[in-house]
Amino acid sequence: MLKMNNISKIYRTDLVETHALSGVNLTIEEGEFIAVTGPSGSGKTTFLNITGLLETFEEGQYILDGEDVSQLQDKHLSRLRNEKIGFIFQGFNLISDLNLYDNIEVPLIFRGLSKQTRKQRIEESLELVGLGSRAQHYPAQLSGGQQQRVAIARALAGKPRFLLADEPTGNLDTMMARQVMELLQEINRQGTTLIMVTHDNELAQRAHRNIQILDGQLSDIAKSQLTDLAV
Amino acid sequence: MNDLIHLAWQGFKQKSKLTTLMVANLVIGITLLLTMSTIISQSGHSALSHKLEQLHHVSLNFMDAEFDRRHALRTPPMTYRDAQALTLAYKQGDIDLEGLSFSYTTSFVLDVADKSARPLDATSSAVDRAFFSMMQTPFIYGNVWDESMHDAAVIVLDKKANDHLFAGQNSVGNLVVINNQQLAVVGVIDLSNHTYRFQNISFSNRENDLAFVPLGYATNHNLPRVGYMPCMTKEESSRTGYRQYNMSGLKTAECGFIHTWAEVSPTQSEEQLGNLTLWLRNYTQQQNDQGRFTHTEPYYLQSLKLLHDTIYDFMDWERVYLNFAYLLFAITLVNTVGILLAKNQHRAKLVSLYRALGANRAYIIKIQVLELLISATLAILLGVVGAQLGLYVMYLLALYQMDYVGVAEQVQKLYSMDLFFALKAAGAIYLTILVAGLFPIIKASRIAPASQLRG
Ligand SMILES: Nc1ncnc2c1ncn2[C@@H]1O[C@H](COP(=O)(O)OP(=O)(O)OP(=O)(O)O)[C@@H](O)[C@H]1O
Ligand SMILES: [Mg+2]
Repeated sequence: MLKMNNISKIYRTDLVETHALSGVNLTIEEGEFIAVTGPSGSGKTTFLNITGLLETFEEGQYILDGEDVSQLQDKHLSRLRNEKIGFIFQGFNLISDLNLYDNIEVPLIFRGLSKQTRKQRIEESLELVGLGSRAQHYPAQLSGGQQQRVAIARALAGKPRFLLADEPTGNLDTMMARQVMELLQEINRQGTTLIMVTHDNELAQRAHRNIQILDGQLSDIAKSQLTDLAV
Repeated sequence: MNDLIHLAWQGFKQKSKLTTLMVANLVIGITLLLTMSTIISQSGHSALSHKLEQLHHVSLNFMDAEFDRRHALRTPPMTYRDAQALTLAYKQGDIDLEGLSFSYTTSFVLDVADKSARPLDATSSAVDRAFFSMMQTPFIYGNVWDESMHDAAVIVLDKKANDHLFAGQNSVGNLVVINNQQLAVVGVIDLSNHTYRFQNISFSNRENDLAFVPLGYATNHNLPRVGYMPCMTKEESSRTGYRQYNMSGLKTAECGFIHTWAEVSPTQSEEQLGNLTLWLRNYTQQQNDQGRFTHTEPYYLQSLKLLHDTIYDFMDWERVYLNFAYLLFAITLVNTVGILLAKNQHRAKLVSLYRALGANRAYIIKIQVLELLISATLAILLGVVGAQLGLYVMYLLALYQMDYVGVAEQVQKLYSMDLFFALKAAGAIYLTILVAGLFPIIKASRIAPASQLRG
């Protein structure tokens, strides 16, 4: 379970202060599928980064599985990030020097899994995203949709409890987007909590719950409202 | 650990142009540093390094009051009669020492009776028995002559002479010929660790003794005095005679040719040195009544260490180059830091991704330290190879400067790196590279997990 109380995030540069998030209150239960929508620059990625322990925040309290995150040291945070969270980035953030196998292996190495276990996990997750035969390929040799699926495979290989996806279908055509969406939903059905940022109302419709961010303010909305807010 | 190495290796290969630049830059610095520091370290090296404070060159300065010694390596050897006086005092127990040895530098043509080898022009020493224990030179074959043989026709060969005359075989019992006289070989020693001919304080690194004959035999048979032999002004005209044939005249002359070494015990060095100094002072004062020892410095008692330090002081240009090498190495390190920073700037995104995927700060530091060690190892290995080349070039230059009068083997010793030194230097270089690399590495580890991953 994940609980945020009054979380605020401010980016300070020399000239401006950006209130990327202000006063976010939110509880997410185990196994939920949540879609986050909102206009560009409204704070969606910031919200996801804080949720995924990638960024710190100025105010408020964030409790992840009973642990107060702001009290934790780097070492502990890194471990939580590695074990509990799978992140699918807005860009794919694959390492271009490494083949798919090695790309997926990176977080598993950080976790300290044995070579044998790693191999098994990597093969499983590549199979799951339908790229089982491509382990030795390099990211540049794949289409955008395939790269996105590798990114998903990397997030899944660690068997995370929370899967955070930042516009996982943003760069894909409708067909591809559907396929990827299906895959994520399947993973959610098997028990992984899914938090997904999207611009696509049709995809957002598939979530259990919809959250909207406007100027750093977060609110639950009914699914019926989604169409009106289309950007 | 394996995984860490794996990741470090991946990191090493990234931005390979920068990595190559960094390694090349380190190699140049290390090559020069190792070359110059080897030369300096070898020249400061003594085969008797554990005895530097125990061995003392003893000199009684019989020279004119105006005599200018110039430097420690020009300290006058003793006259025959002063050496006799010191021997007597030592035998009577007036002086307490671990050992006392007398020798003079001579030279002769060494031949074998059956003419099976070409004659060898051998620069040598006439020595007493005590000399060998003082030199601590291992005997390959045989041993020193007996006490009773202080003027017998016997000889101890250096390995080089033995290799030449007897093809390296055990020659003990064989005969060699000097000036038509036959001498029996009693022992063969290996002087190859003695890069300096310290025994006659010439500290020549070109050649060392090829043979040793008993002092009594040498004086009886008039083996020539070829070393540094200063005489009082009034004796100058007879000097050539004293060198070549006039031994009886030399015995009473004011010409110094006998090198005297006193060995003191490590535990009682102060008392023994005090005791010896007292004798030297008393002796020179007594003799002063007869008009001798008018110089302001009537005697010298100089440790082997002091003499070694003196040659070190002579190595002006080598030291300048060494300082230059240190400076260049420092510049190399600054460059390394710069290149590391550049490399990490190019890789900020990767580090940020590693952090996002769960690597903690310490882990990032570990990967990068290992990566730096890979670069450093490569650079050091190449630097050692480079230094071998550098030393070879320096050796050729040195030989050239000596007009090939030196024994090449002897000279080469000075330009070769020993393993222990190489390991020590490599360790120190590792450490400095690591310290220099710490700043870029820590800086990289502070990259926030998500900072480079947006968009
Ligand atoms: N490192 C930063 N420094 C300063 N301002 C930042 C930084 N990162 C984000 N911001 C600002 O914070 C606000 C929220 O950014 P965020 O990336 O969360 O938006 P977003 O909703 O994900 O937008 P998009 O839909 O375009 O991805 C923006 O105004 C952005 O300019
Ligand atoms: Mg975003």
